[in-house]
Amino acid sequence: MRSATITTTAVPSAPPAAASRAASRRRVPIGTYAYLAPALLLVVGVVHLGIIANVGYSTLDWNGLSANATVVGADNYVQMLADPTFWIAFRNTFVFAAATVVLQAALGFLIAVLVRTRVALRGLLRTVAFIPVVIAPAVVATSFRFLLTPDGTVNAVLSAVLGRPIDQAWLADPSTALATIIAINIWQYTGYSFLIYDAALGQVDASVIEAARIDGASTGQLVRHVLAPMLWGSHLVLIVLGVIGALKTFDLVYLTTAGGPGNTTQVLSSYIYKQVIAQFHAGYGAALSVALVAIAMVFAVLQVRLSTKEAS
Amino acid sequence: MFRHQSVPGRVISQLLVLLTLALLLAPLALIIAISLQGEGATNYVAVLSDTPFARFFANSLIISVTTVLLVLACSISAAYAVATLQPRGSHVAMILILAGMSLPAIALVVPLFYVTQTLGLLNTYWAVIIPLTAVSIPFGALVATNYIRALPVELYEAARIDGASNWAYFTRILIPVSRPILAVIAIFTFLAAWNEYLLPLIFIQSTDMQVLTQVPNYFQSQRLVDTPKVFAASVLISSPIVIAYIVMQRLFRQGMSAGAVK
Repeated sequence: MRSATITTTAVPSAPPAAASRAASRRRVPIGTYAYLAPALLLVVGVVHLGIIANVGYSTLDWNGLSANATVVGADNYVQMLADPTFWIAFRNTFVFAAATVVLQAALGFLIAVLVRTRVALRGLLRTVAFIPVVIAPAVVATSFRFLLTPDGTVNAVLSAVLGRPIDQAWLADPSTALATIIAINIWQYTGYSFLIYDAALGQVDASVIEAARIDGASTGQLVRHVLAPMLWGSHLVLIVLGVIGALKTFDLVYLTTAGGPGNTTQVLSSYIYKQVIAQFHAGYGAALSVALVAIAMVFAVLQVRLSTKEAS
Repeated sequence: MFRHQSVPGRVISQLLVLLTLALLLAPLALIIAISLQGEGATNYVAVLSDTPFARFFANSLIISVTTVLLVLACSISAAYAVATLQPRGSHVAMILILAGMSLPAIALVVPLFYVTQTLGLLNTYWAVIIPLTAVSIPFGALVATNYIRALPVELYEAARIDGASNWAYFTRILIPVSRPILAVIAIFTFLAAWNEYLLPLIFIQSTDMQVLTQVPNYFQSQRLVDTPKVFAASVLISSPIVIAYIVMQRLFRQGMSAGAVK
């Protein structure tokens, strides 16, 4: 442990670390806990109590505001499992997660490799790739909603390029709406995957590349067979963060389609919002929230595991 | 790393770079172009004068800065307790804090709304700041703890032997030494707070208290949707953060890749 690694040569009279720590612990135990208290109180007070309260609320038929609530037991959960919109939202959340994780990782990796070739403008690409990441998703979503209307600028550009009129209602047509939302997310967050791969590639030992070159590997082979397998740590981080990001995604969906048309682009977060805020179904919304928390927990555990492993 | 490409390989790489740049920049260029349609730069003047833009900007700043300061204070002190002081039970406390990691804020909307309403905190900064701080602390505490654990143990031992109290060590040595990780947490938290949309949407209804991410809606809530002004507002909202990123690229990259908790 830590005390075993302590050298006392600098101060020969120093008492063993564990003893001094134990002594100080005895002297000011309250003081020591005071350092923990603010973080602990805020997280437990908001997150833990919030989740526990949700579990309680999820057994109620309640509008979220009034003092009147009827206890309905597990009815909300029974209703949830039989609710087609819940399953649409569930499926969309994971389609969104899978598509954005895979495509953003592939494109981000490609850009990370590109900025390490001898091409012009690679410095600019490095800077530009990350600009969308820092812009508010609310701003990105609103802007794309206007750009993607049937008579919007995107269709105008496409019509000019393709030489035939395009009037696709990208976000209003159920067959393209979810894919369009996914595409917007990819535009915004590929720079993030790029950043992670760029940092990882920076740590790859140059001699590995040289050895592969001497063995006659082409750039394509080098990337596919040498580098991609070496970056499993980065792939994992991006998978976990990507799924967490998908579970949190609200602004993008709410401000482009609000879950529509129909409920075809509903995700778990937007469906909770609709039930709780728009329709005052707080009890049912709480049950949906419990489901979302259960899924998020799995990935939170994975995220903590990954970070602690890499830090040590 | 890939300096020895063949000629066709280099041509393909160059074309891919140009294509990627075009795809990334085209929407940004379109947004700026549309923001100047109609009355040109007057659109920007209109956004600044027709909306309480300065007020929204101030609200965003107050909420973001307060959240950042609270997250920094809570994270570094919790990390100090967990990594250095290690009182009995601090390990369990850390697990409890980390359990809040990555929680989607929407999942807390029912209890938060009820409590906020009951305490009369609707339409106050605190209705946004408190939940935002709570969901941001786990990440901050985690990276701060990792950082402090990596510091040489002698730092604390020597200070204690020299007679420094825990508090003196915390304020005079640990916080200055931890500046790099505090900067990372600050950037990450500020970006999340500045760009936050959901919590203000739910808890802040009065126009006076709204934040910047709600400005584009301002031009749509009126009967006529004024597209160029929506885009001008988008440019005005995004400019500070984009400029900050371009000026402080290294810090942003560090902050955001720490989000991956590398």
